[in-house]
Amino acid sequence: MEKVTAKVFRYDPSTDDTYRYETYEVPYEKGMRVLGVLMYIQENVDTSLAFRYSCRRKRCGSCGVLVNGKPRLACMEEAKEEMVIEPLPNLPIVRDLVVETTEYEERIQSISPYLVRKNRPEREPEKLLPNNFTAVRPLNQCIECFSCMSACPVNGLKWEGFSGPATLIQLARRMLDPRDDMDRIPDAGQAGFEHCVACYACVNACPVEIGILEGVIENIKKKYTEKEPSVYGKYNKTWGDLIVKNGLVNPFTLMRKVSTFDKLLSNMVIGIKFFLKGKISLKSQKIPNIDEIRTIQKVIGEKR
Amino acid sequence: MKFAYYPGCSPQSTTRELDVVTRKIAKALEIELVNLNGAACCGSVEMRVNDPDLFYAINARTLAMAERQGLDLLTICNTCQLVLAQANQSLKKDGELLDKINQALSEVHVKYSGGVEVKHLLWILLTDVGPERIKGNLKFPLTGLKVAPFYGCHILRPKEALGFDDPDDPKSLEEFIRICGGEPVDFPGKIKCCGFHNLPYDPMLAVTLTGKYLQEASDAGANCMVTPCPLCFTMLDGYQREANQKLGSHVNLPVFHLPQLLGLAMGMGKDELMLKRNMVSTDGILRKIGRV
Amino acid sequence: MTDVAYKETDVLVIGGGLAGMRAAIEAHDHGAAVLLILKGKLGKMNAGICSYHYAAVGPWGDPDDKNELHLEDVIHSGGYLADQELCKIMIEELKDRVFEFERYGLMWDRKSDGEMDPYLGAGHSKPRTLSTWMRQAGVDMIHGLRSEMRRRKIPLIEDVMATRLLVKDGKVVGATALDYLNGILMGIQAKSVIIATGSHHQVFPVTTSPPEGTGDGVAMAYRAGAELMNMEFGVFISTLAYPSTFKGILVPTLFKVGDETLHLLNSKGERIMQRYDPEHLEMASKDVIARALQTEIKEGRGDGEEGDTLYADLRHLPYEAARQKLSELVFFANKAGIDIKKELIPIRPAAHETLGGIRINKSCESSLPGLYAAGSVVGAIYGNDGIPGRGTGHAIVFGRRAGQFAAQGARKSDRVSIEKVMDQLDDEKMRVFKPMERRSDIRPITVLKKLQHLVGKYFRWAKNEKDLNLGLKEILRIREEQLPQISLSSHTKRFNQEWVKALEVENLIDMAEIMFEAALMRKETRTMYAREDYPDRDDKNWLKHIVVKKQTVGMTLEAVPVKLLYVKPGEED
Repeated sequence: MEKVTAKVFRYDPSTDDTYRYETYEVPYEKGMRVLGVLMYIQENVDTSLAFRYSCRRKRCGSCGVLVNGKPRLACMEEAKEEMVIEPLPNLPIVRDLVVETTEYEERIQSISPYLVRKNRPEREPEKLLPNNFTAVRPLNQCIECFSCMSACPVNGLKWEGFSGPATLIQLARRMLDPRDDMDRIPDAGQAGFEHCVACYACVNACPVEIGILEGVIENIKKKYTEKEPSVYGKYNKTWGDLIVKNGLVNPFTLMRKVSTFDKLLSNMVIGIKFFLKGKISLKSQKIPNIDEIRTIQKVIGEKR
Repeated sequence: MKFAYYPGCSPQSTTRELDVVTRKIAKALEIELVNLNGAACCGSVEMRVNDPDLFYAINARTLAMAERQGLDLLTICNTCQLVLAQANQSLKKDGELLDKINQALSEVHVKYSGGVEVKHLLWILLTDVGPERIKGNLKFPLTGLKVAPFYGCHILRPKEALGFDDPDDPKSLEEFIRICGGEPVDFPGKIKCCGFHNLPYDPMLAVTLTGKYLQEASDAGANCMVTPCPLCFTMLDGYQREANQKLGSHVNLPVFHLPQLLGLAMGMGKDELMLKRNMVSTDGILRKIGRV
Repeated sequence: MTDVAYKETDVLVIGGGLAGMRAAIEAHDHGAAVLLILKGKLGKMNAGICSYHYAAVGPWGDPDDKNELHLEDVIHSGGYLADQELCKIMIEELKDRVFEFERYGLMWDRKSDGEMDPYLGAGHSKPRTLSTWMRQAGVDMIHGLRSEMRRRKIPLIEDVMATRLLVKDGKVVGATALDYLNGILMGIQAKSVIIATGSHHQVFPVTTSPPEGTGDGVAMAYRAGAELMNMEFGVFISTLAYPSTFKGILVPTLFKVGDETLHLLNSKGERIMQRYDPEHLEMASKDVIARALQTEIKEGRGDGEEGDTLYADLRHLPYEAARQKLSELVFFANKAGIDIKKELIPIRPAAHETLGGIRINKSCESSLPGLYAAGSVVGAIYGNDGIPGRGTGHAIVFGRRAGQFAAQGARKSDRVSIEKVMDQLDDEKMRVFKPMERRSDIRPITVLKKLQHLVGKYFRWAKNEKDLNLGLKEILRIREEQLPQISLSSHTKRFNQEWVKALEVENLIDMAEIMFEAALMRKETRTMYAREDYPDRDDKNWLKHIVVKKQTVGMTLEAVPVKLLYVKPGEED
């Protein structure tokens, strides 16, 4: 590769009616990053191009952009032969590739993103066993780059009541810290964790490899369902119960047990449609040797 | 070739047609599917939250069933694929976990040693069977049919657990469509999420997500859609009308299960493929490709 | 006046890194109304996030360790040019900050039994260096401080570049700043101003430190008449050689991976440190290593177009341990396509940071009443180089002190109405808007690159009088001919980074001039400071700080003797 072509989003809300794309050709150097491409353009071709960056090494989280439609840190993403570079989605545009992230910062602020601890430790430095921090350690890597928020389809819909993966990471960071003793369950509920569709888009986008699904969402779900009744909790418990009872999960049975009254009517309409197509089994099928599952469950319960 | 067959819960109830047609095309392609007697639900994305030990035990039990036969596991559902692959990976990597789980399983005389791979039908068709063999079995390649590939999320991400396609730029489903003679149609939502897992308590979200992708595929000029996951199928096909209602759209996009599309190209008819069970009628498609 | 936004506060903090945030927190906790302004987004624009560690004597490490030993280590490594009184205060206050950070949510590395896990940093006499998971203490410290800023909801304005201090009757009464998000000048009245804008390393062409380090704070203080100190000093270090955005990623030699360190090799594959310090090898202090590498290059044993490429060898290290302890280097070498198990990593010299800046006293106050300073913007209190933990340590300790004393100072002051300094505001508005109004084809980036090129050429690690004079002449020429011509390619008022750059260039030119003048004055070589025409250390004449002060015309440079209060140079030096 001798050169790369970058189609870059340009927009100045204070002067332009609408956005446009400018195409630039940039000489390629071994190991070049998208940030290198942007810097070349800003230094040699168009000094008015606006974009954020600081550390150049995935610690500050400033340089988030969309590269060929995917949210990436410009400083880490390899330059490709042809690139379309755009600002992160779903946020007001300041200028060109710079977006206004206040909305996300306010969501984070609302979940008390700091250690809350009523009592001082017995002595300082405290005796802290590293094994107790295994869950929280990867979460502390979060640099608030908002790649996850940009990849999340539910956040992309601006779904009411869902504060997004970045907020949930900041919440879980404290919730799973053994030193924190604030009851963070109400905030978790407010943050709408149950609207996560478990699609792993955030995990795929995270530049510092935080396993957001298992490390954050599932941990929050665990803690929440232990403490507070909720529709999600009922759904989760029913799933488990049906497996132990029958081995397989019959969707009709699941829906029947979980559906709330307000959804009853619409569910009935769908239910009838599905029934007429033969898609509904009213009775749940049991697997042969279902007692094996029950035995396993009993043994596990005893071992705890 | 022989595989331990793991259909999952949906193909044994709501999407029974997927199970039936899978068996049919497997037979035609000389893939022997060995039934696993009494394999339980994989637990979906819920069981690991609900009871992690039981989650690993149930899936280790399923994997052990396949291992006993010396076979790899074939899945036909994205979520089953991901969940079993993840459980398998954890059991293989973490010796302590494997021991703990095997201890519990010993009560029912089951042991898993980590010798099984979990593969989706789509991957098996593309690699183990191969494009040439499949093309050799086609009677009516789907020439002229524009098919939108809806991957869904769990067959692509996270790539550490799956590893077949590049999650940001997958090619497998498009290749499959081409092998069947059709023309794949690109649209942004092809790798996004239908929201099925939230359906029981958050139906509007699932319906909104689904509707968005249906609209995109329709706008991109697709005649129909294909998906390798029965859960995505249930949303895209079963809830298409609801999606139209929610979004105010007028999409009419028939959806096929993966083996249904293949079966169509192989010469199977409407009844054989159980297309009557589709909510969105496929008659228009059949007429279009002259297969009425 | 149109186009000006006014703000009022007790304590204005300029800069949002380790020192700035710590100062804001402390001032707030002392009951002051605080406003923090910074040139970017909080937590995302600072050099602190790239720090590896922190060092302090405490109930960890060797029970025989004491503050006196740490003080000796610091003063020794800084070539005895430390302000010993300030150094002693710093050493003593380091320990409590360790506990504080854990209250902020940070977790220092622990051994498996739960006790602290300090290690030996190069140049320390005892293992008292602390870090966090993956050796990235900086990230965790910034996160901790930002959490505390959020907890207290301290007022904050981002995307603002401070431009000038407002002075009345010899006292600082506020500052002006360019809100470049909206293209408006701000006039901020404050009873105390704390400058924490970091080092001005962007005078150099290749640097490990971030792009915002353009000396805005030092320049402001200098122009307002505050004394500066140690302006001739900078830290030189080796970094990754390519690609362009990875240039400047540090090659750390300051700690071991298990029993071994990485090796530094020349173009012949020889282990460089064997020749220069066979006892400490790569654990020698930074200045010994810098000298070694520069000498190798000078004597022709480097590769590459400019003959300055050497190599870091990690092949002998256990991969997993290297990945954890040298995490950044390994990660970026991999990304640049280098297989560290089989290949050498090409490295080149670069600047780490400048060490000169505002001169402060015990209370972090500058020579201008009402003006406080903390962090890398301060004239190096610990001398002309430092050992691991220096950067984070002094930023946090003096950040806290600056916050405390600024708050106390504010309590005793009256706020001076902005009306009283309207003439300065008018003046500043004209200066700030000039690049916007001019029309020419000279852009800030062109002038910046010219400046960086000449600094790189004439202010190398080993300097000499001829080059320094040539460089100085060039700098003055740039200021006279190019600076007044600078204009912008776009005149948008919305987030015009080029406008900011135009102002930054002016600051860097001023800093470069002072650096060269001070370097011309110091005729000796000492630890990290080198003059090839004066290769020996000269305690008789140069155990002094060079203090710089702006005059109506030009500047004065005064050599002030170092007060050897606690530690004196030993015979072996």
